[in-house]
Amino acid sequence: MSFVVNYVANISGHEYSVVRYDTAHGFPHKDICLPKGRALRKEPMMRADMSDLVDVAIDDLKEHWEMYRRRFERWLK
Amino acid sequence: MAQVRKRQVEQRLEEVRAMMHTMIDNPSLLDAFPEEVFVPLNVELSSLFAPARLELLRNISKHRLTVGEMAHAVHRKIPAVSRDLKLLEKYGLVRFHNEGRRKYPELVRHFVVLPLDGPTGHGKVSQHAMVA
Repeated sequence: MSFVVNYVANISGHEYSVVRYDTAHGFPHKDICLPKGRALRKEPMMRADMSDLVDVAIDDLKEHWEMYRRRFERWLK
Repeated sequence: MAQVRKRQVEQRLEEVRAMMHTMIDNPSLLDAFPEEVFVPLNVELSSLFAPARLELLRNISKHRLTVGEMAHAVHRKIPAVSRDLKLLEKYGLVRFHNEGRRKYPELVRHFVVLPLDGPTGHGKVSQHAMVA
């Protein structure tokens, strides 16, 4: 089993993936996304099981989604 | 206003967390999970994806049954099943295919897009749970 949590922001009428948490391919990681779609970097998510990974992703989004969005908007300019 | 929006986002993220834990604990539910659906902020995920409705989605994904046959399969009354199916249709998870007088519910989608920071969908969390 794997999952993707993808924060998609609607900015000026366009939808952009801003941050993505992906557990597929045996390498759980967080993608910090750039406006053109590719990832700025992949950060490993080191956790024991899928349940912990869900919590890490949701907790990170709860704490930082506004910052992720503001930063992405700056990159768009 | 910003505080209200922040609370809405946090609440929605907690709903996503609960739903994903349910999926992890019950992998068979993944078979039935919809592909893409927009759920307004004022709809509670736990209500929309209540176990009885997930059971309907699972059955629809595996069997081609009329509403009456579906009610029989899940041991529920036809009006209750019909009501649940209409709700699932309203949120884009299910559509109905008519063949004469027979009406077959069909699954529409396989992952969920949740409006995150506004009732008009300005910003969303999307979530895709699947069997790798």
